[in-house]
Amino acid sequence: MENEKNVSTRVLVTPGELLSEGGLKAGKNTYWQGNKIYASQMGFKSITANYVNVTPLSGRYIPRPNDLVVGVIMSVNPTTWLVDINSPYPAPLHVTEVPWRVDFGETSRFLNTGDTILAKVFIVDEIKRVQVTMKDHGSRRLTGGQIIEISPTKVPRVIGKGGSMISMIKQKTMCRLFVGQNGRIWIDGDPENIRLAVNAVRFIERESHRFGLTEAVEKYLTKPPSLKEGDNQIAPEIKSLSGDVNEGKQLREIAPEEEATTMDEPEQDTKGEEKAPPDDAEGDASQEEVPLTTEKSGEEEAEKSDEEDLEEQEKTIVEEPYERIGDQ
Amino acid sequence: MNKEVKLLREDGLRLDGRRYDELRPIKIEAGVLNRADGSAYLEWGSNKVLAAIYGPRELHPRHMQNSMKAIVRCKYSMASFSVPDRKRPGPDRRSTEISKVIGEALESVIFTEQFPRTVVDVFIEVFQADAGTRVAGLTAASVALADAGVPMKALITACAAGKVEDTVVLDLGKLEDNAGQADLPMAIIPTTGEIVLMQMDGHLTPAEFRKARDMAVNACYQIYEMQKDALKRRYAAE
Repeated sequence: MENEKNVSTRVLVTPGELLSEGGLKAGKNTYWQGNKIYASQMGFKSITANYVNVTPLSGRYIPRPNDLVVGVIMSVNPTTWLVDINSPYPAPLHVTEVPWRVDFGETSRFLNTGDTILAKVFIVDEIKRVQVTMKDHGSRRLTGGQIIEISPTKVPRVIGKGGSMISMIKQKTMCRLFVGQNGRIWIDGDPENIRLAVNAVRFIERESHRFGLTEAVEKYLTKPPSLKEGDNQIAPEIKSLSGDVNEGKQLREIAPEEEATTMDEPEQDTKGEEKAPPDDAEGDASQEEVPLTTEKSGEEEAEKSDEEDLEEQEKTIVEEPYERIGDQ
Repeated sequence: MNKEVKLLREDGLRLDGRRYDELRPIKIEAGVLNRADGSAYLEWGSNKVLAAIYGPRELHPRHMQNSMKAIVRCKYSMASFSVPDRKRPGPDRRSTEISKVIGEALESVIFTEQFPRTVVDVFIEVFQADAGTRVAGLTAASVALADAGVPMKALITACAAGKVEDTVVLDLGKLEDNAGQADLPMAIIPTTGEIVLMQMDGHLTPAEFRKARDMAVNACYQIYEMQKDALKRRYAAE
């Protein structure tokens, strides 16, 4: 409930805008000068447990330890692979950090340029040298499927509170999904279903700042055949993998009625959002073909990333002010 | 200075009908480029400027990397068709200088130490020039930077003032710039009032200088509101 209050009074702030004049502490994407707190990025202002935060609307992915990321092998060396994790920093993956025994110079037999992996950020040092590891539950090489990229700032929206959104998409589309914190999403399943899942993700990306998003997406996915027509028409665009903004617009033109219903209704019954998902999520795990680890990693990640999750919020926040002091 | 050109009309207004302390009309739009991390398009009188931000991204060659902070690389360039006589395309003395001062102004607000070893690329392209392109470019670049989600202290706002026919005026137009007596482009951080860019061409007495400075700073606060509005409109529209 409290969250909801914060959300409904959400204010858009630009860098340098005054957030608080004392009483509160500087949280994410803010900085302080004197005893005043200012926004350092453009986004929505939110207050949680004495901290003023700004939920950013755009920005690059900056790796943090324990983040799950979807990486693409850029180059292969005798003892390491270089992984592109969609951040300003390429990340080496050392042979000792993979679950296989790799002899010297045999690296390319295991992973080669262009291969996709699900990995965990292992170390990030003070000058942002990054290392990733695959010696982790759920880390794996991803074969088949396809990858789409979204803005890393929208990842928490795609995962949803406690993983509610992602498990709902998995259930409705019968796809296997991995959402990396770096904004890369790997999707595998029936081509028809992949298309549906991609559309759902694009829908979330587009509508990320609105209330009752989970319900809206659920409605979006439980669409009568009319939407499928629309899907077929926009299919070629999706294949291009690029985050094309036009996708959504076309869809809108094709199925204006559906769009209208999804726009109106969720705002009335936002309260349902919090109750429903947990049951759903548990239900999924047993029904789906997806291996247990998949489900697990998805959820773990979800908890980490969901910024509305209070406990996690506090944990991460504690370190934040110290970092900011360094900024001054 | 060409004494023949009349820059003030009989009724005390300027050639384009502005009062001495009036800005030209400004239009800003954020997020106009799909492939850039952040972008902004700005029209300021007849100036037309596009700014694009890429980054923070990996910097090559590696010897240019700074292990303590990100570097800001700015490129201001004027299209060959931006002025009445064709401008020879490519970097020249003037645009190299402008790139440098704009880049340094932007660097002063970006939290560069959050992204060691990276680069923030700023591209400013002038499609149509009509005096005051450096302040127009800087104003646009700062909106684009916020649009890109680069952590920064505040937006930067820029504006010029100058002197024509012994009168201090705000925001010189092309004729006033060419035939006037002085031009004073300035950029400030509106939240603190810090000056991050100031150049002067021509001569001003100390009193005139103070007047021009105050006029430019006041105008910056007006422009600041337009910048914020442009950024907020981008998300309100969705």
